[in-house]
Amino acid sequence: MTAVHAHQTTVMGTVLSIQIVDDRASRPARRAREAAIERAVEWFRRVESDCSRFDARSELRRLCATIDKPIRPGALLFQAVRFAVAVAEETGGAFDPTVGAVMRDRGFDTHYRTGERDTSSSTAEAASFRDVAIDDVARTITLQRPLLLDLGAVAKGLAIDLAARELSEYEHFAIDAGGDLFLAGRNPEGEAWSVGIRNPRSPSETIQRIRVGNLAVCTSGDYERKSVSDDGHHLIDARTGVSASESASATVVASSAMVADALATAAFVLGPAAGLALVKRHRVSALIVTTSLAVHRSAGWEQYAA
Amino acid sequence: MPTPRTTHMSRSRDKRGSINLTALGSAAVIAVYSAGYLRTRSAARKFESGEFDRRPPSTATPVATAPDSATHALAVPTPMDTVVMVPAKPAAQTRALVPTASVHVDTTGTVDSVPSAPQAPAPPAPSAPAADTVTAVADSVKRLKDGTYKGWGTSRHGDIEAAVEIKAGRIVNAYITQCLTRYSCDRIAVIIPQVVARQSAEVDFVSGATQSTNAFYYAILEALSKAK
Repeated sequence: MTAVHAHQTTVMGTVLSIQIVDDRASRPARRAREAAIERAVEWFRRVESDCSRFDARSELRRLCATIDKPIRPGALLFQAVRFAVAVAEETGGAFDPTVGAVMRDRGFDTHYRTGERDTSSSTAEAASFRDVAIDDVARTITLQRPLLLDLGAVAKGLAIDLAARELSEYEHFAIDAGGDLFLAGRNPEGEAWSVGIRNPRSPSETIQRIRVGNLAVCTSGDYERKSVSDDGHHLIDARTGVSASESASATVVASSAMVADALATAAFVLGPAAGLALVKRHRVSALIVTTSLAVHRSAGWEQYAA
Repeated sequence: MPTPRTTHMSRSRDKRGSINLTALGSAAVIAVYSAGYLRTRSAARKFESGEFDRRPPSTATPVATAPDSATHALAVPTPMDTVVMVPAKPAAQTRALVPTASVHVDTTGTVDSVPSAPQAPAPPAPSAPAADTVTAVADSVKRLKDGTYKGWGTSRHGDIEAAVEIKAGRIVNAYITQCLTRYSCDRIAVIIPQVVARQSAEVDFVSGATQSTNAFYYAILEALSKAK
């Protein structure tokens, strides 16, 4: 098999690379691949547009502007928020898509209705995922206090999964969104896709190589370069408000990027012991590297060893 | 303030109240895909059915922003990725994938448009007859009136206005005068010189910028129609 179409673009603050492995050389086949990739990339743009924390016109920002009133957002934003809140619940808040505490520290303590400075804010609880009420039946979201949602880890995973679905007519392809991957079928050599897990302290070296097919591989690391406007707060332990300091990186292998991305972030924040427990509970595999460069692998990890 | 969650994912919880994130994630993707499916699909269908197809089948080589063959190493930036792609085989060993040589021939004989993909040692797939493309080019090179003419082209991502300058019956310059597309027209800068090179609106597709390419094409087409 030979790789026939590779496409690179920048979206969601990262470099997106899509490769379809398909040996049909006819013009219609080539056009079909181009069209499929175009549609796949379009999903990333849509996710970016709906979920942007920084674009004041994004649906996310408009959602966050309304307090105490049920809002029925588009399917994309609803599902992203719902999933993020579910991960927050599952991790006891270690992963939390709300950044209320950070906002309060930055002086966001003005009463949202009256405009008065809220003097009680210093004693009030910081906003958390518990202030996001989700009604599955009505499909609404109600924010019970001012907060800003950050869907960073969830949005990228969702985009990857949507893009993968768009390419599902092809058996073999690779989606690489800044190091978060979904790999389908086999590589151009006809072998299982090979992924190197980077040494967080020496990026040109790999700790281990794994081989995967039809799986997502996502990594959270303290070495990652994010977009310039991302303060990396999602690597902050929302329970304590300080940066998670035990892990240098966490990599999760799962059947979907949404799960892999969110759980990699959560596992990173939780540290090796609690992180691997979380991973085990959700039946995915993980490799966590601590800041002292100890490598912790979940029970299921070695099945992927190359 | 604890939030009552009676309607929150009640069906996705197991006995201990733990949420099945894998199932939730799958359901989420399906829900979003289905909701957005029709909009992207209808546009994609148009593309595939040829509604955006604007020329007879030719062997034109799409100008890709990334190489369209395994003979180029995939340029994934190393600092970010954890994937090490198996290195591509050199051209001589690949099976047929490289597109057949472009046969865009400038009838004035001065400019030849060079395909961006590497030439295969032997083109393996049967190619469309070169005559088709030569004819298409020849047809478009009718005597044009001197002057500068503008036209608009539209696409799903916005409109483009382009201009052509005609001197002594030939296109001597072509450029974008207004770029109203959602995405920067820098993406298609690479094909703009092809209008002069080919003396026609028949520019290549830019991979990843299909909409803008089409808008530019129609803009040039309209501009040229005013010059006839």
